[in-house]
Formats: sequence, C-alpha cells, structure tokens
Amino acid sequence: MSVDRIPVFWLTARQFLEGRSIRVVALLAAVPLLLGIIEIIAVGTDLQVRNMLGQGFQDLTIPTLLPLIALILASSALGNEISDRTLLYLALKPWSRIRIVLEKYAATISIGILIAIVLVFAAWALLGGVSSNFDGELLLAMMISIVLAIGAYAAAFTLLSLLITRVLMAGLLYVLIWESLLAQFIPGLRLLSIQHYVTSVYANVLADGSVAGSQLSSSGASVIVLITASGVFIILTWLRLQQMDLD
Amino acid sequence: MTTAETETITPPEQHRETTPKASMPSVKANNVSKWYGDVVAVSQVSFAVGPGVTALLGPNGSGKTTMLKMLAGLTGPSTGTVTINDRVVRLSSDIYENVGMVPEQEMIYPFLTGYEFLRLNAVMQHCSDVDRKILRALELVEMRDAADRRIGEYSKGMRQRIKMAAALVHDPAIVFMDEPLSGLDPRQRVRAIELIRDLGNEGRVVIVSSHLLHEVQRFAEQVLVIVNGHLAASGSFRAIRDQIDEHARQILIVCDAPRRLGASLIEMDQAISVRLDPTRDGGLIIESKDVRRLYTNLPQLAQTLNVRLYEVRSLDDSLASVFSYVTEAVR
Repeated sequence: MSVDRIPVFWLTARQFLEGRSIRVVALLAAVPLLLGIIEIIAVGTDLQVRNMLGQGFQDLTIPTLLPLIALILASSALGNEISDRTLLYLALKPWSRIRIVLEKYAATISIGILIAIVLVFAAWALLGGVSSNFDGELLLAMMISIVLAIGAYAAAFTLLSLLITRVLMAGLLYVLIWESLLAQFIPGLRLLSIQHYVTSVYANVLADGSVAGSQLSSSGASVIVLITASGVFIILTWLRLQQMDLD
Repeated sequence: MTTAETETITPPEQHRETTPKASMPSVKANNVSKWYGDVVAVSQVSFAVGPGVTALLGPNGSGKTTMLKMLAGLTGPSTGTVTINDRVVRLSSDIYENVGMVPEQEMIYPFLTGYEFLRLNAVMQHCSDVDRKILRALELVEMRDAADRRIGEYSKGMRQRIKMAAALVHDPAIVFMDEPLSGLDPRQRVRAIELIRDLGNEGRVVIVSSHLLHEVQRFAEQVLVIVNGHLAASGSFRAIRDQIDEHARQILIVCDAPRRLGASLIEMDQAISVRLDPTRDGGLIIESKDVRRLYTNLPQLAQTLNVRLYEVRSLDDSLASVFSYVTEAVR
C-alpha cells in the first residue's frame, strides 16, 4: 500500500521511530531475552524453555511488559499531538476523524507488536537453540497473546490520552495496581481486566494445564471480549476527538 | 466622528457592507459566543466576510485567536454558528478542501523535512499532481532550497514560511492566518505581505489575525476589531484609521530646547497641550489631534527654531489604546 494512502499511519510510525519512546519500548520488549541470557549463564543448557520463558511470559510479560509497551506508544500517538498542538495539522484536513484515529491506532499496534514479537521470538529462539527444544506451541501462544494484548491495551490507552493529560501516570497506576495487583487477587475484578482474557487465550493455546484452569475464560469468549473492547475504545476515542476543542 | 456619521465603520450588530454574494467564498459568524467556564472569550459576534484580505484585530487576550479558531472549526462555539460557504463548520471534514490555515503555534513535526511536511498536507488534501503543487508552494514562500532539511533545524521564520506553504499547497479559496508575520525578518515580512495581498487580489477570502496595527494596514482592506471578546467595529481600514487619528494622542519629543519648541507648537496650533516630561531631560509631552500634520511639520519647525531633536515617538500608539478609541466611538 502506498504511503500516500495512509499518511497518518506513516506520520505516526515516523514519530515513534524518531522519538525516544521507541528505545524504552525496545528495552521493555527485550526483558524476556535478557532474562533468558541470565538463565543460560546461571543454569547452562539444561533448562526447560516452557517453564522458564513460558512462566515469565505469563507472570511478567502479559501483566506488566505488554501493557507498558502499549501505554508508552498509545499515549504519544494522539496525546502528545494534542499537548504539542500538532494535531491541528491533521484536523484541518478533509480527512475524517475516525480515519485519523484508525491510522494512529494501526501505527501504534503495528510498531508495538512488531518490536514485541521480534524480541520475544529472539528469546524463544535463543533458549530453544541452547536447549535444543523449539517449543512451537509456546511460540504460537506468545505471539497470539502479544497481538491481542497490545491491540486491547493500545485502544484503551489511546482513549485515555484524550481524556486526561497525565496519561502516562494514570496508565502506570492502572497497569501496576489494577492489572498487576487487584485483578490478579480479587476474583470479581478479574472479568474487568484485559490481562485476564489475554492470559486465558495464552493458557488455552498452551493446553498443558500449567496455568490455573478453573479461573480462565474460554479462548473464543476471550478473543471476542478483547476485540469488542478494543472496538468500543476506538469508537469512544473517535467520538471524543470529534467533540474536542483543539486549542 | 460618531458611529452614525461613519459610513464604513459599522456597529457589531450590523453586517459589513462587503457581505459576500451567494456564489463567492464566504465565512460567516452568526451570533457566536464562546466561554470557558465563567470566562467569556467571545460574546455574540456576527459578521460575514467575502473575498479580499480582512484583518482580525485586537489586543492580546481580546479573543481574536479564539474567534479565528472557531472560524476554522478547531474550537466549537458555545452558542451561535460559524459557516464556511454556507456550510456549518465542525459538521463535516470535507469543508477543509477549500480551507488553509497558518496557526500561531510554532511546533511542527521536527523529524519531517519541509518537503515531507508539504507532501503530508498535499496528500491529505487529496491533491493531484502533488509534486508540482509542493514546488509551487515552496516557491511562494522562497523555501525551495531548504525543502530537504528537517523542520527541527529551521529558524522561527522558516517554520513560519513552511506553515504558510502548507496552508496554500492545495490552493484553497479560504485562508486563515494567525499572526503570520511573527518571526519573519524584514525582507521576509515584505514578501509575506505581498503574498497575503496577492491572495486577496486573487479573490480568496483571507482572514488574518494580528495585534499589530501598523502591520495590518499594509495588506488588509477590511478590519474586524475585537475588544474584550466583543466586535467593537468592522469596516474599511481607512475609516478605522481616520477615526483613530481624530483622537488626541500623546507624543514624546526629546530635544535641546523643549520650552521654546513647546511654546511654538501651541502658538502654531500644532498641539492642544504641552508639558515638560519630568522623567526625561529635555523631554516634552505634547497632545495633538493631528499627529500626521505634526510629524510632517516638526522637522521644519525645529530647523526654523534651531532646535535639535533627539527623539520623537508616540506614547499611546499601542493597539490597546487605539482600540479603546474605537471602542468608545462605537458605543
């Protein structure tokens, strides 16, 4: 597809690639790889990829790293353009606001997913190569989880960036308190957590019972909830952008 | 001169005499107000603007930028409607195919080159023959040589000019400019003023916001004066200027013989009052109703009296005081 057909996508991708946030995102996405290297140094080649990488993905990547990656990118996609007032260069065009939102969102999740997938794949390939155990099921579960998690979190944080000015702080509190703490330990809140549905899909794809099964939702229901939630967040973002004064 | 005697200055409730015909590009504000909480930024403003250059004048904080943003659809009015070519703004993005805007803010995507920024604008305006239009816009603002440099490396004047090029790249019929001469050096100002005049002469609706009266008179035929959120006056620039000139204004003259010069100015009916400036050695503050005549005659008079002039400047030529004259006149 020509860059001229998706100029806002192209602009947003350039913003990410030329900005500082991309380095933070890459660092976060590289955590599983770094932990894998430490594990190899500590344990040697006699390691269980699913136990090490899979458990780390479930305990750290899904509840913390993926939301943070989405938060950093989504908060700057529209929020930064509002705070530095460059958004008006896009708003003063015969370009519908929903199209602006969709192109911004597409750029956010494309960059986020790409970086996360490349670095998680690198961790998987490294550990698999060292232990001679390339766990294809684990790789598939991780890739699907990355796509769903970043898709849903990015939609939520893009909306948040139009509602409040300190979106990074609010997003951090949401990730660390709601997703990583309250939703993990308070059963009723679990159903209001993106993490719960991502973990459910992850566990169901792995299908080895390593993740506590009784508290999970089905894969189908989880995917529907995540996609629906993402869609609702995007529509709310569009409505908010329509009403906003670009002062 | 009272409002009733003035032909071209109209009170705010009346539309200007240049109200555009139906087929012409037009921008209309109909009883528009805007408030932020308890603060009223713009209050019940109505006007219609047709082809040509119209200046939106007002002191800082008068509400002119808010007005311009409402005209461009960036901000919605609290009450009233703004229409462009008889279509209500903010209801459809299609309206922007005919609109270009030079915003006041300096920030532009610093990572893009000037060419890339113009390409972004041209593509989003659905332009055909994009490269030719970009080249034309770059030449209009004399930025062709800097087109491949990143905007982050641009000076303030260059950023201002690339914003103008971006606003004009799709050849819009309606152009909004917020303080367009800000940051330009004298030569660039002259070029920008020519450009603004040309845009108006080509039949476009050009609305330029400014707080600098002397700047505006070089390109605008019509003015809308906004004071404290109200439309204080509208009409031809000449009428406003004449009205301003009829008010007594204070001039500071610093010379080596202030008493002698002051006495002669009173005697020759060039000033209605004269007093020595206690803060300036040799300072003389005079009040005159015909400042132009005073400025014309002063050098000759000083030469005749053998008085050496060190400084001559207006003490109340600020836009705020000028607008206060206009505001009083239309009340």
